[in-house]
Amino acid sequence: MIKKEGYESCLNDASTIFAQSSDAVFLKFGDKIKSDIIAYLQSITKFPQSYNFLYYSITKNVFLDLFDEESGEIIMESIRKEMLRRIDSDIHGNIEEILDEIQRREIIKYLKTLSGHEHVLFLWSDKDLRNKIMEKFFIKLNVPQALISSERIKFPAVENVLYSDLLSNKATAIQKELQMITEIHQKNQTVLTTRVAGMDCTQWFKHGLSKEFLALERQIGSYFEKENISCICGYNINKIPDNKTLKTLLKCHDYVMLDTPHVLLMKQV
Amino acid sequence: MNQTKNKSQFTELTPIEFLDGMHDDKHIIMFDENPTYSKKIQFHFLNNGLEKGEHAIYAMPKDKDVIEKEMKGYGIDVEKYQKENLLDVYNTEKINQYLQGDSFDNLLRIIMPSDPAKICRIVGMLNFDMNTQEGMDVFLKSEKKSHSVFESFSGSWMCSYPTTNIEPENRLNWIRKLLKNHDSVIFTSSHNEGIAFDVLH
Repeated sequence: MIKKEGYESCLNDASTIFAQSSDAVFLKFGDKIKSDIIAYLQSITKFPQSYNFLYYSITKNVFLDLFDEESGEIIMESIRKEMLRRIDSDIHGNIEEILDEIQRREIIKYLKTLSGHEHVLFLWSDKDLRNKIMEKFFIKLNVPQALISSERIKFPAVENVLYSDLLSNKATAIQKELQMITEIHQKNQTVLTTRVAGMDCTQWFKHGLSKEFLALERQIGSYFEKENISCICGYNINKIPDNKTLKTLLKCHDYVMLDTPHVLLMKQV
Repeated sequence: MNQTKNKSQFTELTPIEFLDGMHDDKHIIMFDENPTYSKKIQFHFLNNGLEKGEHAIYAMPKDKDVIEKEMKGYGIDVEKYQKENLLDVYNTEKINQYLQGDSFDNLLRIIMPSDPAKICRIVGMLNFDMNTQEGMDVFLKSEKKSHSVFESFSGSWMCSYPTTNIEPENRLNWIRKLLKNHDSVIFTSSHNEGIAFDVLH
């Protein structure tokens, strides 16, 4: 559904490393066969001539189809070793895990360099992975930063507000959150970006404020466009009530981030 | 050959490593994109057998004297092994021209040693026009036949073909079909050492 809504991946490192590693391994078959393999991959994936993708399972299936399971494993193992040679770091695991780790690191790099006006939808399913990502978002110690969460979370230099505090009076809860964001931002006397995040915005749905919160999501984008604020709206993907709600959320955010596997997508103009 | 392997055993081998670790009789196909290196692999394969007292046969469409000279250059003691009746070199260029019938049968008739029990290593190439669909069909038929009689043969065969000779439109498909009629495959490349592995059927 995310792709249908016009989002495309904006991470390149994993696909580049996988493509370069595959390329090096394909070269062992000779130029002619390498070209044939790539043409074959392109014919089944309909990918462009540039051959730059990370669908390792498609590559594996091509070799299973061409040779057999064991040969497919040998070739994929060669690609894995080639990837490890290229990334030159402490990443371990199978190809899938390596690709995911590369993407996680690229997401973190992206979060560190956010320069304001971004409204990011973070659809997570794993609390630990979510916390690790959120922690990397709050890396600036000298700018105002705020995190709304269900349980108390201590990140350095981050003001932590609990959903239960905001939701203590449902009638004013939405207004209270907006006011909290405005106040945090007003404290920012630097040219750096104010950083704000909600760990799990499905709390608003749980407390019967779906309509009101979705209305806030629709409007707050224009506020972030004007103000130097970067905001991550985290949602437990398993607690989004329906596709219609998800579609609305997608419409309100220019970026979508996932945690399993790590993915970052940007809405295409 | 149908053993269960664990992940750590899925290691790629260079052609030389593969040949040095070879214990069973194998019907190997080599797709050659680097003729100089491929010749080294062919000679290495034969030399490994000669050192074990096996009979080595080189049957390719190439000049006999040139091949023997190249073998010497590689370090094979050609005179010694020929004196011991352990090494034969054939130029197969004209086999089909002068003989009627199936080219695989013709090749066997000429190159096979008189003692069928003798363990042999053969490097061979059937002389076909592989650039056309029709040529590839006939070639594939011969390779099928050779694989079907391989069990009754004591020793290993290495069939060696230039990749560029294979009909280009369906090259991968031809390779897939050829692999079904061999136990192992070697690919040589102009850029690196290539790759070799067993193929399970």
